[in-house]
Amino acid sequence: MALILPPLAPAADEPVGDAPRVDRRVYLAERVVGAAIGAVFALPAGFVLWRTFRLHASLSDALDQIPAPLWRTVQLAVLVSVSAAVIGTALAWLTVRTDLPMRRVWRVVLVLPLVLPSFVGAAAFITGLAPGGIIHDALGAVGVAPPRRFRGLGASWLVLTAFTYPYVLLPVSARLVTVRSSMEESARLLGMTATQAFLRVTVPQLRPAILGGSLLVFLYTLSEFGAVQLLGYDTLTRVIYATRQVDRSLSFSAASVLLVFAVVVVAFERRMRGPARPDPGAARRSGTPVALGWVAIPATLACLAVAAVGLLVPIASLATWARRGLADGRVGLGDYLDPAISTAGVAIMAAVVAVVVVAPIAVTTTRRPNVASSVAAGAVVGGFAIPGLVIALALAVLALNTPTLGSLYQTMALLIIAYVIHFGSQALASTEQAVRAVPTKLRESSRLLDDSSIRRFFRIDLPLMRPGLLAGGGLVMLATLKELPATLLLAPIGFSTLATEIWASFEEGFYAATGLASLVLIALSALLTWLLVLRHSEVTGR
Amino acid sequence: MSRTLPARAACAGLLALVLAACGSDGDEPAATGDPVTAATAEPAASGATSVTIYSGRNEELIQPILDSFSEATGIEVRAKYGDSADLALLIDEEAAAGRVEADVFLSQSPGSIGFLDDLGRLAPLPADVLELVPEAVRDDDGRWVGFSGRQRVLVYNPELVAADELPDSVFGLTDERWRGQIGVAPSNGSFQDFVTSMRATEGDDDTKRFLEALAANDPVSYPKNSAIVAAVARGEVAVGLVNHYYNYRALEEDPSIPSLNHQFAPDDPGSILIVTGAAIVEGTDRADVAAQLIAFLLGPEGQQYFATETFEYPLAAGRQPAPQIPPIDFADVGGIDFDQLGGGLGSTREMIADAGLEG
Amino acid sequence: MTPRSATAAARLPFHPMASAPDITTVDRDDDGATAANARVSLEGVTITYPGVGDAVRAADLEVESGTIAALLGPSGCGKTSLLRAIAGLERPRRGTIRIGDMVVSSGRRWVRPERRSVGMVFQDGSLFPHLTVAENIGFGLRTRGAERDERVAELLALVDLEGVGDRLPDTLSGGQQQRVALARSLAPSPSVLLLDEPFSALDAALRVQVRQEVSSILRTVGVTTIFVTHDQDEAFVLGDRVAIMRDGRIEQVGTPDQLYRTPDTPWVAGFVGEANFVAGRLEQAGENLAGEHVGGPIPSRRATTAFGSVPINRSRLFGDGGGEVTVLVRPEQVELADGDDAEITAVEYYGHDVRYELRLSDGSSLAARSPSTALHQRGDRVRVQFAGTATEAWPA
Repeated sequence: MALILPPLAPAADEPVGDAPRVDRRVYLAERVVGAAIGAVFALPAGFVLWRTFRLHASLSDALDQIPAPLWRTVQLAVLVSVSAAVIGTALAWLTVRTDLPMRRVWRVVLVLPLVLPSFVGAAAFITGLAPGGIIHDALGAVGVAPPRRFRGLGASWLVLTAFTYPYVLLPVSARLVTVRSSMEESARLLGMTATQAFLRVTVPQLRPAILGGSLLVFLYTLSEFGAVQLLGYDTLTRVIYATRQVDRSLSFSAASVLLVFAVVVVAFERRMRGPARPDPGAARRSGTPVALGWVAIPATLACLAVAAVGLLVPIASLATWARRGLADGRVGLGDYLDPAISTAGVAIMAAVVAVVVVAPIAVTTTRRPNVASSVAAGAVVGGFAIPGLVIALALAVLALNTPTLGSLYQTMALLIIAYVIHFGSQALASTEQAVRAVPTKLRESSRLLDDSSIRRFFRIDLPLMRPGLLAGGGLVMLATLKELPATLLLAPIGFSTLATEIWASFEEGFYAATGLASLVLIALSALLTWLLVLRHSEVTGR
Repeated sequence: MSRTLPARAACAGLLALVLAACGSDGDEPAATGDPVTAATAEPAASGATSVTIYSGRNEELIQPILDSFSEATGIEVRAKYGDSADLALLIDEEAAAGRVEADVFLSQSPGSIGFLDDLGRLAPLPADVLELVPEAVRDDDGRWVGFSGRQRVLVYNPELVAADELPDSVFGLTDERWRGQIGVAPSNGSFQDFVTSMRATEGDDDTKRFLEALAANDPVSYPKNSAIVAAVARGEVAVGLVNHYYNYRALEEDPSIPSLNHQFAPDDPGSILIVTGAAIVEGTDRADVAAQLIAFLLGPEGQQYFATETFEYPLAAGRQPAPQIPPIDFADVGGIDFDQLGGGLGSTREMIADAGLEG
Repeated sequence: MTPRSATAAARLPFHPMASAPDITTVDRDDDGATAANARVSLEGVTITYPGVGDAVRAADLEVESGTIAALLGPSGCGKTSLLRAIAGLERPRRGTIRIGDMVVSSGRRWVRPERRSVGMVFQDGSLFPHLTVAENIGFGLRTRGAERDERVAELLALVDLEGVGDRLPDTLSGGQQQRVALARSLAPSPSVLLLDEPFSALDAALRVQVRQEVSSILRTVGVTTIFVTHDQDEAFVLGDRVAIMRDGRIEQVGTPDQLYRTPDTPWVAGFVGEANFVAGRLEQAGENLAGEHVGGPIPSRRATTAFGSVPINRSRLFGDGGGEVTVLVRPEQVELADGDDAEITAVEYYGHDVRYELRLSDGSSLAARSPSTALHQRGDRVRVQFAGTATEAWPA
């Protein structure tokens, strides 16, 4: 066959035939596309800085009122991201690498806390700890005095950790599947215990995944508002909210400070992560799970505790609220059918668009990194640190004042753009991983067999990238399902989601409706995650 | 979620004629067309068949009455819900871009209306709409009108404290007796409104002293009124500074909870009435239907709704609150001048923060 | 079995480990330095994967101290599972594993992998990508400072990789990576070294070269070694003894020569080298046979086949009577001469010898190998005869 004759696919540094011409065009296109996408993601940041400047923000006011909340924000964000990193990594190891009983069930259950809006979670904790609440009674039953007040740094730390650690668990689990178990085994045969082997050999391999996940948690905490407000912890975001009307320049100054801080953190993480090492791809033999022995008991208890805090307690609290309302017929499931459908619709749409939009950046940062792609990636990640309200306002102002975009104002399109800018970062890391899952050699050999790059993409690249793309899209979907401030501001009139319904009833203290709508949201999130993501993913498949 | 039915507009006239029996007090035609008689289904002068409102007032608390308005007039109501402050910001941005989307703004917090008024984003209301309510609860310049009221009260847990121990004045809360027992919501709009009002009646110095003494008494901060009521009901704190209706609503959710309202003396700064305001957005070309809608909120059906469904004080002349709520005389209790609030709120917030009450 | 010398033992001082198993053999060098070697024995080892079934069934194996044993078998036969069980990476359901005199795995006892004093080289090398070559090699060492550096340098020299200590594994070739992996597992002076398909990730040309290098290193160090392979050449070249595995069972253990010449079963015969199975009929035994073989060598009998009479080992299996048998005839036992028994249908020229495929007059085919001195062409007609010592036969 003639196939044997052509020279093997050219290495990057020795182009063959007319390849260079094509490649230069591709390189240029990559830079232009990357820069354009990055620019869109940077719009809200640009808006914040421009407004701060135009409002002649007073530096002395800012210096007077920002440092204290900033310091509180830093404390909380550091604590939450460190604890989420530890818990997420430990749970990933337990559920992927050991013989933990029921680990397949845990793999699904332990991801679910991600679906709860954190203000609902915080409220569930507050009522759960109150006299008559389920935590209060449970603690009383075992003879522990429940805390009289559940507020401040400690409470915010606990609640945010409980709902954000899956941001670490997910990428670390995915990476752990590809780290050869023979490395841990080698370390054990060289005299390490299982724990030592994990810490000294596997954790360094997981570092990019741990750092990436922790960064998301950190940025989430920076932009979080609902939970910290309920828990009485005064962060920078609360300054942005509290002053947005009475002292707009201070509000925008605070947003600028938040933004600059986020940029520093993102840059720091990129540096810590170091150069991307090629992903070896999934290991052939997954190896025998580490035998936990008696450790299985405390390990199971730890999983139970995490699931209890992040899932069972909130759900039980919500169910208590909902039951009261369902009993006297004030609320019914039928009330939430329409919002559930529209919520699912926008969330899936946002997920698809987000993955498609960040994919070009992921391809460039992974295969041919350049300055444009790095900056664009930074802009994508930074979008997560900007409060949803600010992103919404920025897009509203842009659409209102740009004649060509005017028709987008108060349409679903603009809302989807807001979701994508806010949550694109969650798709980026997984998409980068997906791109790395297509080995260079495979792409080169497929090139010899099929010269249509589009067909090649659908036949070779896409199937291999699917798990990563699904994971990234899934995260965007979950985040969109519970998004509130941007939805309120940008949604077309009459469009409501489950999150807006929850907010509307919660705000005025209609807890029965809040409870029921929240349960519907949790069920919908779990269902969609299962149908669209987990069913196709190798993390739970095995 | 569309609230228009094509057939509805056609039969609206007939329907409205039936409802006309419920009529209204003011019959004088105004320059913009009589809003109240318009509510009885004469076509709007602008020819508009819909009206857009931005409502900081919660959907749960206003949508039913908006639906009634649509049914009565055949005018479609398009409502965007959100936080009053966020919607005010959006209205300002829209106006700045020359693209007025909202016709009516309903604000839960007086501050947001004051904010837009200061920026010149509100249009004058027709005189006959203004005259539906007493002077105490409307703007002197005629740019906003109150349509429901909430009184500041002290909610308490009778299992922890006897009614006769409770102070007659909010200043009494600085007493050592209440150390660590008071729930407050310093970041909430209604608390800030209360402080602004106190500044107007008592002066900045006394207000500042009060806030510092309150802060020194180790109060517990909550994000919102409903959280305070819940905290009092479960005994976390003995008393809390809230709006009156949260307790009635909590009791409706769960009649067994131990919480009662206590009114300070009528002339006390602690017992002011905070009104929910409505305004027409400057630059709208549907001012007539906007006025029509506001008049409907002040009409018998609207006012009855606020009295019995949301447990607020109806503000239109001659209307009574729900039976379980003690009636008050608007002339007796202090009110809030929205205009005063527009500029004053910034410093109010600082004052609260300086006293150490934030968070 | 030839005991191997431990000339390099001076460079590999015994490194005490917390719970190293008892040492049965200590090879003493001129200098008096020691290398620790242990015998490995397996008794009735059964490994079961839940939901999959038995990977290994009742395996018995003895590996003498200081020798190299190969586990040879097709993929999926359980050989890697058995190796991992020795390392402590799998836990057998039944059976006993001893390293030295220490029971490391039995119904009641289980020694964790890190306490078995076992070194292992994996198929993919499994070097730690975040550590340099020197850090990889020093990973299992308990010593610090100069002593450690010295040991690492020693091992780098042993695997002939001086000067790459500061590089990251990614920058090495596949063969170099495997040598680093070997050095890393040898560094703590394990009692037993295990190799899991160590050359299979390498390409063919490199594989032979690395195999020779590894072989020479292992002979130098003299550590008890068990390795797994599906490649017969590899097993025969490296292994002092070879255990053939099939479907979770050990079919036969022996020296390469024993396995090749006296396979227990036709399957082993076919798996180890090329085999012709020829139908034959056993000839009647001689009268004095019964008396003759007591204490003496197993007498041979003969079988009549399509190309003449063939001497057979183990004829006692069939008693003294005749019967239909299948006779193993290795291609090199087929001698071609002038004649008209068969036609040559294919010729494969290998330089040192030539492989022919023949069609016999009864239509059956046969493979033959003969020195390349007398070359036949395709289509030539030849006479076929058996040449060589006695071979094996099984009842047909």
